[in-house]
Amino acid sequence: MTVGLLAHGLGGRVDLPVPRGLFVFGAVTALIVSFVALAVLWPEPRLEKRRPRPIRAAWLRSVMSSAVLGWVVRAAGLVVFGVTTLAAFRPVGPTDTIAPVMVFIWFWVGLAILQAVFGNVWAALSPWDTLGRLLQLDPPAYRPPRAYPKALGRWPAAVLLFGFVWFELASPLPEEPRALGIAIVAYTAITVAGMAAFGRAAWLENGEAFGVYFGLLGRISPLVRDDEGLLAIRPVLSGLPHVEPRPGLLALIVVALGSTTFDGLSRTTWWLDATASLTQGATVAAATAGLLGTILAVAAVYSGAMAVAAGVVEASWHPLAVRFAHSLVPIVLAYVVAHYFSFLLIEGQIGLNRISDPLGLGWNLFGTAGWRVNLTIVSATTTWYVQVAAIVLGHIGGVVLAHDRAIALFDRSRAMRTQYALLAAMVLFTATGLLILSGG
Amino acid sequence: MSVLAHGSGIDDLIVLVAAVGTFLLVSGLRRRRGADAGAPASDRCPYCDSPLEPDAVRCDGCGFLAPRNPARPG
Repeated sequence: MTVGLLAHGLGGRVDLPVPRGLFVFGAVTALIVSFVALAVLWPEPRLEKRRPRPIRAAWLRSVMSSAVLGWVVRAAGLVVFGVTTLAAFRPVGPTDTIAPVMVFIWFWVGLAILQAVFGNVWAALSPWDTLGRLLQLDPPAYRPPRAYPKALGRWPAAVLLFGFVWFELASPLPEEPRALGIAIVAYTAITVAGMAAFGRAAWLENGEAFGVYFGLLGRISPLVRDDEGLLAIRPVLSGLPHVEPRPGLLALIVVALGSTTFDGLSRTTWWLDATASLTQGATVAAATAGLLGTILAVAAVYSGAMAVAAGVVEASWHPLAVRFAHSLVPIVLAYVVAHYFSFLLIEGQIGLNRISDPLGLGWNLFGTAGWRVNLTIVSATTTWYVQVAAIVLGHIGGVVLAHDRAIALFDRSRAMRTQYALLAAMVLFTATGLLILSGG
Repeated sequence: MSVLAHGSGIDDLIVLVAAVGTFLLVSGLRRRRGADAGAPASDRCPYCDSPLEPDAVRCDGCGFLAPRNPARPG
């Protein structure tokens, strides 16, 4: 198997049943119709103050509150992490061990989707959280040398997330043997150092990039653990208005959104033609510039829309941009699904094969070592429809959240006027997403 | 013009960016003046709505820089 199998799949080119422009027109129309419907039918904030309702089934209560089960899950997470790290140091091809599949497909893509469906399962699985608990880096057993500086907010997570997407999308390192292992160990060292400096909970809440990122996606889910640790149910998306505004939060969301967009852009014929004749160093430089440029472009479009909205209410644009940042999270999920749906279903099957031989030593632990990747599991046409649906629903989710926040903050007339520019930005994001996906 | 000949969606994108940009510009030019009915009061953090101390540099609630207090010299 080659590195190409781990190239990020967009589902390939597909002969669309109707011209591409019609899909874009339909998607944009759906967005605008949703906006108008919200204006008419959604006069009061509904998501801002919704609280989860506990599921009172006795058996579920005992399962969810079982400390033993909690540690079994944590131990399983730690074992998978350990095996993945060991595998990442094996000097073999990228698909000869479980490591790249586990990190770039099952973890980065699969877990993102799981979070949005089942809630913040990462909080129970995170090996770094488990390490922090085992090392007892929590008060009162441990007194951190300093309190976490509030001014730093989520900036460490945003910077580390950028580091991860740069490693994945712009650097040549994923193809280098051992580079992934070194990256995992380096990230673990940073995380343990952060927990030692500020305490486990403070670092995981602010600096652990994947915890913050997956935590945001988990707020899309209708499932959540309430304050007592019991499973509770809530309307889809209603966890997002409760995201606490913090410095760096917007940066993290924009990095997530911009990086997925760049991944799609870098697979278009336009980008491939433009970079085909470059040396490896120039290719990395171009990809780095493209990644940064895409993230900045997303930030500029969103900030521009917020500046216009701020003009309507004569407020500063930045606080407004932060207070509406959660409305971008469904779009982040939409882009993950749209860009990586076929990648997860097709290339993700390599993991079924590798799970029986995670270190590439010729084992067959679970009898799946002979698993052959089924390339026909999902057709290009199905992939395209999933992509369109994800992009449209994600942006409608964003419009709903922004509308709900606007009418919670402003009187109805002003609220609507603040949303025109954001709607324009959503239209741009929707059309861009579809054009990139169909232009691969 | 070679970019426009690629047929990879970039040409459509340029037109769309121009259209949205124009819309944003026109929206900005048409912004209306009036009372700031929905905005947080100046003694509250514009990011998280927590109460702000008069001499606060940063909000204790969220960590963002507090807006400059007009009552404070300098």
